[in-house]
Amino acid sequence: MNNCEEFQKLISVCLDEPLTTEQQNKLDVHIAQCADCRTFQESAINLRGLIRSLPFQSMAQPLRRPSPWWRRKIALPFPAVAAGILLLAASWLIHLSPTQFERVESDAESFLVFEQIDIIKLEPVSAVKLANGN
Amino acid sequence: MEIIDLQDWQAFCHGDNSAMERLYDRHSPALLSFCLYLCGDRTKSEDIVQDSFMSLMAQKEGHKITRSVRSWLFVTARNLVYNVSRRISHQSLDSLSEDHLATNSNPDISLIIDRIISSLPADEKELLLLREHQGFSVSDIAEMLNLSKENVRIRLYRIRKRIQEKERTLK
Repeated sequence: MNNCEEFQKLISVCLDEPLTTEQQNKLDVHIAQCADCRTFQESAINLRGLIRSLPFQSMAQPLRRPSPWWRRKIALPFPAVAAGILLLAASWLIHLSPTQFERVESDAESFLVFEQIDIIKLEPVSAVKLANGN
Repeated sequence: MEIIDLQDWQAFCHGDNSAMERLYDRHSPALLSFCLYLCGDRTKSEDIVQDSFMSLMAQKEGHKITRSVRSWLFVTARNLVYNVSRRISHQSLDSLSEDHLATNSNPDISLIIDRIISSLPADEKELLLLREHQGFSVSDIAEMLNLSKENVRIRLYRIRKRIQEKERTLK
């Protein structure tokens, strides 16, 4: 193990876990001689110090119980809403297509005919009239 | 801390609600900081912390947590952060990094750390925060992120190396 990359990996490991005595001795000897590896070690230790100096944040609210579902905000994604509106519009247009109009009209006519038939008054006819064809 | 956590967890499972409040008081600040540095939005981070504790409470049935409560909370919070950031497609995790600047007492340090942290990809950012800010061990992180220990060591080395190179360019 002679190259700096291997030693720098060891420096990184050394920050997280203890090394074996042999590894630690080799590392110490190398660091004493190598400015690049010393710089890497200092940088890693500084980074740790900087990040550990960051304060922990406090929650603005205490632990709250979950709100019931009817009080929760519903956040629908825009594409889903747009697709839903398009689908509704399309089904409405299909419903009001020309064939549908025709069907509605023909239904109305048949209803009227039925009404006309319904109001015809049937009168009793004599057997003589029937025989004469009137 | 883990023993106290497990004791409180067991107490909560047996009906002591104040035990959950103790867990909340003990872990919510660290959890909030983690979420805040990961996603950068304070309101969302607070919601995620709340949701993480709600999920923890939902584990009560069947006493599902047998190991570290703290690790469980961090993994849950981390997954929730990614779910939220996936929904906010127009904002990447890296671009969300302003709120925590305003909450840090020392703006110079904040600026340096902000530059460092925000320059990292999301997976490296969480690894660095778990190790250096939250103090999780390599074994814990490997278990939490479903990685091998060797992989965690190598990633940490690469992150440290990259940051050192960035420092050089900043100087």
